[in-house]
Amino acid sequence: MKGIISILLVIFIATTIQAQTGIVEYLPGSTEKISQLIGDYDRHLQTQTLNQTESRYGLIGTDLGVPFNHNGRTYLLFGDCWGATDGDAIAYTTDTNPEDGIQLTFITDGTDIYKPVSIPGISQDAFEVPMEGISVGGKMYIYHTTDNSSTVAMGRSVLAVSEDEGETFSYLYDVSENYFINVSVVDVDLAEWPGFPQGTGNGLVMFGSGSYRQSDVRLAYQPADQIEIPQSIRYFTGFDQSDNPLWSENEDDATPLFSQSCVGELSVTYNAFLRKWLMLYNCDPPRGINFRTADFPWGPWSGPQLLFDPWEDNGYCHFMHVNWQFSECDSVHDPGRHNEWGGEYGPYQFNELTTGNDSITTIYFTLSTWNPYTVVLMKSTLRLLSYPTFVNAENPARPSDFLLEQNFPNPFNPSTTIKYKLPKSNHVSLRIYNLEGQEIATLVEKYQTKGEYQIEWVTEGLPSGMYYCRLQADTFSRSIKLLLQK
Amino acid sequence: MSRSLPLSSTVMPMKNTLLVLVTLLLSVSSFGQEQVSFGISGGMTLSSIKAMDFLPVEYNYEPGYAGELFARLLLNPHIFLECDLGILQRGYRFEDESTLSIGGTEYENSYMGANWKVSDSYTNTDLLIGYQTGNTLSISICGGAFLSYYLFSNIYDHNYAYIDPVDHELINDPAIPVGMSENKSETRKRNEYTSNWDLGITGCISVEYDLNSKTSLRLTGKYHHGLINTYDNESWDQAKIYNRSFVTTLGILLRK
Repeated sequence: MKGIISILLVIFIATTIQAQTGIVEYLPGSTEKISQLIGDYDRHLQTQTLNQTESRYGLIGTDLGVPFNHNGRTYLLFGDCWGATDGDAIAYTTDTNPEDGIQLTFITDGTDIYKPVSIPGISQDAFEVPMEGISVGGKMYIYHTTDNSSTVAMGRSVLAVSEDEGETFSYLYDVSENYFINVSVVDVDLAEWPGFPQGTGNGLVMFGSGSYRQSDVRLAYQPADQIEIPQSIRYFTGFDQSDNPLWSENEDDATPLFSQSCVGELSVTYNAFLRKWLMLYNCDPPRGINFRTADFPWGPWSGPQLLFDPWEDNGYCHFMHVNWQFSECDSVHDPGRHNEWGGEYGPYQFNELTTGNDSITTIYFTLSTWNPYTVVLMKSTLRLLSYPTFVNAENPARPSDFLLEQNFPNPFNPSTTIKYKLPKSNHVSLRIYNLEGQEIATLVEKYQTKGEYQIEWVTEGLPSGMYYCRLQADTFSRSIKLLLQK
Repeated sequence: MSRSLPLSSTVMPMKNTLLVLVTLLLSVSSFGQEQVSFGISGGMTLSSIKAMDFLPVEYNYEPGYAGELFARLLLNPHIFLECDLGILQRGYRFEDESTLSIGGTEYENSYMGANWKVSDSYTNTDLLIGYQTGNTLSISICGGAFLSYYLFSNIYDHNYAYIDPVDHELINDPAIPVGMSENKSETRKRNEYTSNWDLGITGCISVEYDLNSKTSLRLTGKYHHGLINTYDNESWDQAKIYNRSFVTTLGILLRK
């Protein structure tokens, strides 16, 4: 009897999980720097930093700041430290109010100097950094890149474990030398996410990139309680004929979730407010911090949108240095680097700090900057454009009919987002025509699996006027009217 | 937007076409002079298109001009062959207006839309066979085929977004520009996606009134029914456009 009730309960949960449909869009102008986490002095805001890391821990600069929860604290992994000693560092916080910064406490070596992360037998020089942490069964696990060389950046990733709250680590196994060098791992309750090879318990959903900043993103899965068994990892390889995800034991079979071969470091969370998976990564092009959303880890993933454009969102000339040979619009450079460009990378989401409701969410993330070499805390707001509707979780990404939704915004200038749904896998053609029927742009021309998609049309050099967007898939075709207003 | 072609590439086919048509006219005139009459006429067209799987708009008729020279060969007192050679416009127009719908909200008093008119100029020849009653006031009917060659287009485009002042208060998303009214008129070729040739069938009816033994006044109505898809775009090969035109001309017929 108890078994039957359990089964019915699982079925009930599985069929009532609600995925929210709609397009997630960045709220323009909402990305802003909150505070500088590292160093003593914020040359941008011209104020003392909250953490005073140089004075307190001998840490002048560093990057990453990968947050993860472990035993009631949020830990942050920093890489390639510049200060009293080299190596990587770990800090933790219980601060829940990000609006005034995050108060960090660094693990030290018993003195006032941060303690470098050490994994015996693993090289941890430049570009050999911790890029993800996860807590399983009371132990702290970190994914760490290594084997950096002049020919291959970050040639290998390894898993290490700490049973003393990050004081010491021991090597467990090689994670990847191929597609999962930089990873982002999410711990999920499998009862809420049918489709993984294992049905119950907790699972680790691993998103990975391979060749540094030249990679697509792939997906893997591992039962949480088998994290120390490398053979338990399964790799997402696509869909069967019923569009159920397929998994393989062979990493070589892993298939990209989308095509955008610019990804290095990445950060994926499940945003409980919008009920969307949210992926952040640095890219060029389009230059800046990109994001995508999806209803399921295996997608379909939305098209990329920019969350942070260093020129548009007060990066350059504010907290990112502009080469003085170009413009002397800021003085935030590191000593002697006034004629070097600053840069941005490594967005890592603080999922526990996320706020919002079912139509809008504010996310917080760390952003690494080069020149000045530091980590800043950022926030951005995303909104769900269409009115939320709910679909059955058994078939949440499987619309019953083809659909081409009206673009948003409309009228628009200079870009607009077009969303469509495919009830089955098809070759899809999404094109823009002018009033004469002249083809202006091809937005999509490829085979796509069933699900919901969105794409942004950025007009460049086009005159104001009416345009038509036409979706052709299978026997379905529909056009919508778009008005570009300059 | 349009591809600019070298002048020679557009003029040469037109020259060849004219050469063929003039030859046809001269061929007709080579018959016995008493059997041949010539004429000139001018008037207007009213045309639209039959569009299949094309833009989701309703196409309406657009007026244009027509002018032609013609030669008629009487095979007997009632049956004639005729060759018409001229220039005419075929076009269409549409108005596409809708209320603004932004983020799921309908703004009943705010609109966006487009008025679009295009007139394509063609050289055209009709090869006709007909029957005429043969009195001072003569009525003739005829049928045959037309062959046209595309020359250039006159285009008028009006785009607008009217935002009601009340709605303006509500539409405060900086991503949504408000207020626009643009007119644009231009003459250009658009044969990047328009076939150069058009072929179809012609039906016609004429009324002729003899002013004297050598001169008649002729009022003609023609209907051109295009049989060739004039929309030439590989990326949208399901879309088809066929010309439909009414031509009304008033002319003078000269007999020797």
